[in-house]
Amino acid sequence: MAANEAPPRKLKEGLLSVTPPEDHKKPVDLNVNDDKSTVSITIVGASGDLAKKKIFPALFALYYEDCLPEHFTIFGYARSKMTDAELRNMVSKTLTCRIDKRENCGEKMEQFLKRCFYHSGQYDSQENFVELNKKLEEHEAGRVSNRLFYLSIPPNIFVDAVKCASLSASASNGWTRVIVEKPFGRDSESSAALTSALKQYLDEDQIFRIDHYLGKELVENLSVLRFSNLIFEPLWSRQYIRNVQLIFSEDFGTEGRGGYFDHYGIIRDIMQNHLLQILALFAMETPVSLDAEDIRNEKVKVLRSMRPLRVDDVVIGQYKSNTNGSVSYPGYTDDKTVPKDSLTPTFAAAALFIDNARWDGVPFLMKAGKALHNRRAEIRVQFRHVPGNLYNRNFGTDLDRATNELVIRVQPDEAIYLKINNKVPGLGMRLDRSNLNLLYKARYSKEIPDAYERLVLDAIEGERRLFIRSDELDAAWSLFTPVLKELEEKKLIPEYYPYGSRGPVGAHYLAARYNVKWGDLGVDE
Amino acid sequence: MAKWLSAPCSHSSSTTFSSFHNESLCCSRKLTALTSICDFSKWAAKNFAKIQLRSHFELRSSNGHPLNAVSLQDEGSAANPQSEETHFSELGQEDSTLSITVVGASGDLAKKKIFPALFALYYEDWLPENFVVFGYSRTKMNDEELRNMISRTLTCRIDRRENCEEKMAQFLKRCFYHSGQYNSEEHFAELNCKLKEKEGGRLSNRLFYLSIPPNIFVDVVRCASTKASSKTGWTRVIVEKPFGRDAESSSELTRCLKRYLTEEQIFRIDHYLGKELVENLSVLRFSNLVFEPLWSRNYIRNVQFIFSEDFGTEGRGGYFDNYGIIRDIMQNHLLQILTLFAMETPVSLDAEDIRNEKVKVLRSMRPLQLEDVIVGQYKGQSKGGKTYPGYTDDPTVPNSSITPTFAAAALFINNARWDGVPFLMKAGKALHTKRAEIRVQFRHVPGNLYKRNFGTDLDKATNELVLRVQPDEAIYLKINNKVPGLGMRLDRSDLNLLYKARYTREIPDAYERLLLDAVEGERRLFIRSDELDAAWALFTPLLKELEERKIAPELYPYGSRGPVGAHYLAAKHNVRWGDLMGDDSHSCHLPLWPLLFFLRYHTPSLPKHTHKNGETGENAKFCINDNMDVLIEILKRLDDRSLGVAACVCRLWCGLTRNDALWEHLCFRHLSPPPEGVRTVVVALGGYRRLYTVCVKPVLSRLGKMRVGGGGAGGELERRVWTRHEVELSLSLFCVDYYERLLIGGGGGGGGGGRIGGESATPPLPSSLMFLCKAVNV
Repeated sequence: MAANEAPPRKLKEGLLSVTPPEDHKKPVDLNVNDDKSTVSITIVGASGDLAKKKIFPALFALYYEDCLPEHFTIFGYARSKMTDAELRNMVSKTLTCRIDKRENCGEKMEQFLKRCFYHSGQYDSQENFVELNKKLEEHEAGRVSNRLFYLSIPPNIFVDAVKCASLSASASNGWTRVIVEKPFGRDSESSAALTSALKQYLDEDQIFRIDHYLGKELVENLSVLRFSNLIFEPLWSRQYIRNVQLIFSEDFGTEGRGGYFDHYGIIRDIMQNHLLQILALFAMETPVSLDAEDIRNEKVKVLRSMRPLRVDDVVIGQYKSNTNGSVSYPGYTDDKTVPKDSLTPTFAAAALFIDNARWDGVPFLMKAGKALHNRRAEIRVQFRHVPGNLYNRNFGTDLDRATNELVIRVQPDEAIYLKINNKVPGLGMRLDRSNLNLLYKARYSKEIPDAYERLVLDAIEGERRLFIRSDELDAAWSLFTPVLKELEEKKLIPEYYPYGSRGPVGAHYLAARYNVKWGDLGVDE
Repeated sequence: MAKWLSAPCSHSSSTTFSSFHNESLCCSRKLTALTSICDFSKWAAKNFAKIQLRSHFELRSSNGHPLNAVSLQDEGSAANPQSEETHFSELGQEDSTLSITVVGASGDLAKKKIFPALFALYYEDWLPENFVVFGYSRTKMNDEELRNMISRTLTCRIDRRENCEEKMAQFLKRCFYHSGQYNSEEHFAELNCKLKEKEGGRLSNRLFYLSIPPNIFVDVVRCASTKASSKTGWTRVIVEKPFGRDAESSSELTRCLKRYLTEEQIFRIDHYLGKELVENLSVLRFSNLVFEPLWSRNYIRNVQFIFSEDFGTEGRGGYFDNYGIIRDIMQNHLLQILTLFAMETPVSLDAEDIRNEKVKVLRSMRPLQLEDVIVGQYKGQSKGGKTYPGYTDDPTVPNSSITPTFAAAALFINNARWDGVPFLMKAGKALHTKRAEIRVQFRHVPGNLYKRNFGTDLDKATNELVLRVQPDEAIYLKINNKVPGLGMRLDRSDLNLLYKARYTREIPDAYERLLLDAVEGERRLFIRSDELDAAWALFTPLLKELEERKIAPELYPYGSRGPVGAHYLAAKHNVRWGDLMGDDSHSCHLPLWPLLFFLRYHTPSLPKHTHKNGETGENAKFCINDNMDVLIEILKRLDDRSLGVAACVCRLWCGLTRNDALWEHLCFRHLSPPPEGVRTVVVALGGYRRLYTVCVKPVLSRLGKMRVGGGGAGGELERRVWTRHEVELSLSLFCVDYYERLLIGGGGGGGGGGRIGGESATPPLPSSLMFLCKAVNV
């Protein structure tokens, strides 16, 4: 049986996966079989925002839930001069325990902080990394050493840091892995250049390109829903699905982050990675197994069967200032870190098509925007109308619009719901749309772990399922690069929309061209 | 309203005045009403069209918005569902009148269901403007007495309280009574006179509701149709079950009825078809694309129709004993639902089209075999000091009766869509719950990728669609879902639609809908003769065989889950009853046996191997230790002793049983939600395992003993219910224990100390307060 033939890694993973962290402390420690090994996690760019807000808290949560191996050390590395104590002080401010796990939180925090150290140095200085290496070795005390570097630094110093780390501080007898955050280049060429530069120092299986959306609970659940429920199986194709919508919206602008953003724009920042990744997961064929390579092979296949994106199928927008009541919201170009004449889109909608047997003709609509009226990320699957509907008479002519819809809300308030047509209770025959609901808050009482926890843990365990492979990245870029180029060359002016509105009207026209209505802007939402 | 004043006085001789009055009203209100002198069905059709027009409009406004509309239209008020069923009688044909005669008006059904349903229809303005309700039965009564009797059972919907009293008074004014024999044509002739008087020369439509025993059906129909049928409008007769006892008696009844009535006049009522969720079944199927591909043998493994009542035949035994549960519930209600479920898509929603499809299903069903049926009968049961009588203890039931009060059957439809799919039915009285539901269990996922993560049970944890007809109408779809958190663990969650939560309005009673349909001539929910024949043809051979061979029903205790035979029947067709599975039955904690089962059969090579490296036993197909989530789930359901046994199995199990979360679960198993804020205290004082051994267990066993003694039920062990007070008591004792240990030093050993479920705990020191755990003689 499969369980018996599983290689040790899988067994370990099995043990891990079956231990529900909410219910039990892990009864059998993860590292019974590698007592002598140790993991050192180095966060390069430890003084940055991401490190403080996400990475350290995620590591602490993993520690709290006993998901980290027994011997581990965490090193912060950055240019700022700091002592260990100062780092601990800084980190401790952002650590929190889950709401449902309060007991001896303080104690645990103490223990965790004791394992955090700091080393200050330049990102491009091999010497400084050699010093770091020495410190790491000291803490490893001769055990098998595994090292994980988390690069939480600007992209222009990626390669330098990787070079120094791999040459001077990689593990001598265990593994060395590097987690890289987006952006992975600006287009096909720069991305390929980055990849080839990284590959000078690292193997493909050492590079962990993180896309934190893939670590979200409901994105993880997408595959579970598809592949472990019979009822969705027959529906998942062009025969039944009319269109799929991937929607991301934020209700704030670029407050303070404008400098970075202006260089990239919403398409590179959200669409080309997060939304496209979710799309690929959604649309892929059933993989042979849940192994990382099998899944990523299927994802690449989807990306490669996609029709090249045309400029006509893209709508871009930029938010302008808006006064709502007495509060006045600044426009994008009012941001001090943004040039006054910037054409960078803060909103984009696109229609994509997958030219394969399963999805031919089904529009996949993406929408991403900043400074919109709400904050949400969701996947909407609109089904076709019922052929020869008996209840047309009862429902007016609009029954073809009131089709079934499956909504997977990634954030906020994780939920899955299926809109169905239902009879309104009462005499007479009147139909309306009701939801078959699964609200996570109501069903699962414990807190949902942050995406970073899952991803860091996966990186430690070498589970690559949720990380982006080089060829995947290439395929994703080759899809978007021509459009991005054209937008920039033609200097297309984005459609302006007021801060806090529902986005530019162009998005509706785009949807209407493919006979689609945005599900998130319907009346019943 | 002015129009209303004219009606009550019309029973005097001033018909000319009243008709004149009406006419003038018509003129003043709507000229069109004068020109259209049509019969009632046209009237109904017109109004239906109007409703549809309205809903059409409403849906447009709520669904379609212009494409360039960036802002949301706020049309919440327009979509108010209450605005829908407004007064459409205002357009009514004022020249026609409706007389509803309830034959058997003094009976239970009439009082409890029919009159309230008529009132509800009146309240919501569904009845035509001119209507009269006549009660007819043998009891001597005058109008006033009838009104008095009825008024006790009338209620307004919870959400419609305003001028309820007034409406009720108006309704009662339209109720009259006529007493007479059921087989006397004279008396019906008298009734006819009275009816005519009330109708005041208008076009008369008459509806007779026969709420009487079946043996006088034909007499009444004869008298009513010969003497009291309408000369100008239609005459319809609603008949209640039973429609015969078998194929012969049923066709005999039909033949007799048809001597006096045409098929169109007979309305055979099956009130289950009027239930909201049964009506919704077709809507769900035919107006949702997502269900369309699933509705066949390709995806559905089995379908279950479950009906259970939590009471016996109190008082009604006489009638029931003659029929039995199969005739009473299965052959009509459940079979009707089955045909609605399984039918092909009809050409339209017209009554004839739907009923044609239903007949097709019935006729393609495989004849029911005796071995596919289980019958049961409930026996007396004492529970918690209360004694529930068995079926044969009912004084109206013969002592030697073998009439089934429970039946389960497996049916098959031999057509292209359903070949091989078992349709299981279960109906019973005196069971543990009251419910009626439809469960659709889907097949397992072929080539499931997540098998590894879910243990071997994934094939059993298939999707399931449940339509709960009563109580608490709901639709839910069970799906496999990832448990949020790190790691990959699946569980079953529900995609839910609870009617109470979604629709605030009260759901109308089934009788309201059916009466309204009969008034409007909508036959969709009534049973046609050939349908009835086909239904009887299916069950008659079986019923005959059961009776001829005098097959003794399997006895089951009152309030239990029914006879075991039902499980065997299901198992024979590779099905598990959805309503008795773990996730639906609360407070069902398994005994030791599943653990022993796993021990015996699934971990044969366990002691020799440590599980940490890849090697495994050659013959071990499933090692529970590789599926720790399953193991933990099992351990969670064990009692203290079994946990102790489990701890001795191997190191892994020992480690698992030490886990405090298990003990926390055990401590607060019967208390949900678990008390807040207790956790920190308990952990600080030594953990849940200690809490359990030191305090919970003694307190619980003491309480258990006390109750067994008090109930006088002999060796019957009580299910221990863990109340909040007991929790508080235990927690206080736990504190006491802790501080004693702290002060005296030693007593109970260190915090997470060794013994599990130990009876032989070290006796508390003489000065200890822990004696409080034991029973105290005051």
